[in-house]
Amino acid sequence: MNENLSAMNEALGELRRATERLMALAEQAAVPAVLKNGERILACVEMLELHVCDVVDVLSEEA
Amino acid sequence: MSGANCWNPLLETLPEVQLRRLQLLKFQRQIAYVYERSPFYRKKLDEAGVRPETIQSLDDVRRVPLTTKAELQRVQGTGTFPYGPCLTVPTDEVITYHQTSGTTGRPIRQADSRRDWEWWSECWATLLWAQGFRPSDRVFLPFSYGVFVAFWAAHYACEKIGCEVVPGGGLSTQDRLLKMKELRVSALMCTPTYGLHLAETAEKMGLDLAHDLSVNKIVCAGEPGASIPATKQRLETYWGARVFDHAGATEGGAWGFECPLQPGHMHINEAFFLVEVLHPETEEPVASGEQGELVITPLDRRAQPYLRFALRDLGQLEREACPCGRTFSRLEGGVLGRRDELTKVRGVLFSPTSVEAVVRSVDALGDEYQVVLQKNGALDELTVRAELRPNGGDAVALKTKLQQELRLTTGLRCNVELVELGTLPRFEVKAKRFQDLR
Repeated sequence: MNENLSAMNEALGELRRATERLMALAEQAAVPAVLKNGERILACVEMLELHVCDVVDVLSEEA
Repeated sequence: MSGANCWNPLLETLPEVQLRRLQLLKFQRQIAYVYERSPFYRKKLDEAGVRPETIQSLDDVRRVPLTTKAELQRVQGTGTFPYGPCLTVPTDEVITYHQTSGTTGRPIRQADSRRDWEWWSECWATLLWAQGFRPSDRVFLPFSYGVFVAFWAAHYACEKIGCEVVPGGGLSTQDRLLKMKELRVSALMCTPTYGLHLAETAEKMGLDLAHDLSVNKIVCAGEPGASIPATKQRLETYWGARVFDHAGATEGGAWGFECPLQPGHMHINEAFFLVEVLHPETEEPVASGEQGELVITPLDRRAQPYLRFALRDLGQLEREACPCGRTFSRLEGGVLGRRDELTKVRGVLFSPTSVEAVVRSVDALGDEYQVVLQKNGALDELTVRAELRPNGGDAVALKTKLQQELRLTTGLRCNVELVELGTLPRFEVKAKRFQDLR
């Protein structure tokens, strides 16, 4: 598999975990500004997953 | 291919075997999600004896019953207000409301979550990037910014790409033309009908669109016109711009687009959609190159998803490779018309869209036309009305020529009436040029 693709996939995993952690903290601290911006980031992360992670899954299945 | 014209070269040039595997993987994921979260689909799938694990191949997809607009109209009055039992998320996760135009009955209300709204603009970004939209573009959107999804998602896709968007709602047609001139906009999006209406208005204002304005590309949607060569050519001549077609639907999303290398062929974004072309009666796939009805599954839509939605549009699938490098299948000639408009006239299947190609290929005729079908005694009578330009030449000879061309194209004898330029109805969004009065 393309090295860049693997690296993007890995970076996206980190981004998702960081976003989810940020949102959990924002919820605990009751900071809507962080929570709502976090939701927007998460929606973008999900689009990035469609562009990268799904391709990785298809190529991994083949391998 | 360099991939420079692809929003995502990884997906758009995926070899066909992998592309089909991706579609299967996504369909399996989607049906599992929908079965768990949508009361409407759980009931429908249970009744058909289909479970998520039934889908082991793309052929198995055909075991999932089709979803029709009539079904959605029936159920939207029940369940979660105002969307009904198709909704898969709590209403506080819905961030936008849109509805269909209601041409074929009660409008369908459409919910989109934050994720889905991102998905809409991703689909649009894919087609806009393919058609040459870049951050240097200043894009004019002359639509009403109302409850119809129309170019809303295009607006956000332009922002995503980095284009400068000029929202052209709330202005008259004349003011829109002046604003486009003033701001030297480079791109425009509209229905083909409105593109022609803008051109006619510009002429009355003494504006030469090709020289006085700076528009170099136009994306058309909402009607098949931009894939009809004669209409595309007229628009390109009036505007001095390249004209691209795009297909989408409120329920289906932005699923099809013309690439710059193959005018008249519309790519299906198969990384995000599964499109089937089925025989209208047997609901079996038609062979490559045969016309059928389009059925769509948006593979990543979540808040109000659809499995195998019958679009009622007609198309002809081609799988051969495109020189642009995309591996996505194409529709030859774009969307070929609406199944609802397809009707039998004296035993011959007739599509009103076929008249457009003939009328607009004749320079002496204006852009507007009308098709009227009525009974004359026991017989169906087909009349085509078109507008003769002031210096259009010999009306009698033209009428005969038009009758011959229409007969060749439609297989039917048509009455032709030539009227004065400017007398037929004008439309600003989607045109209604066909009247069946039988």
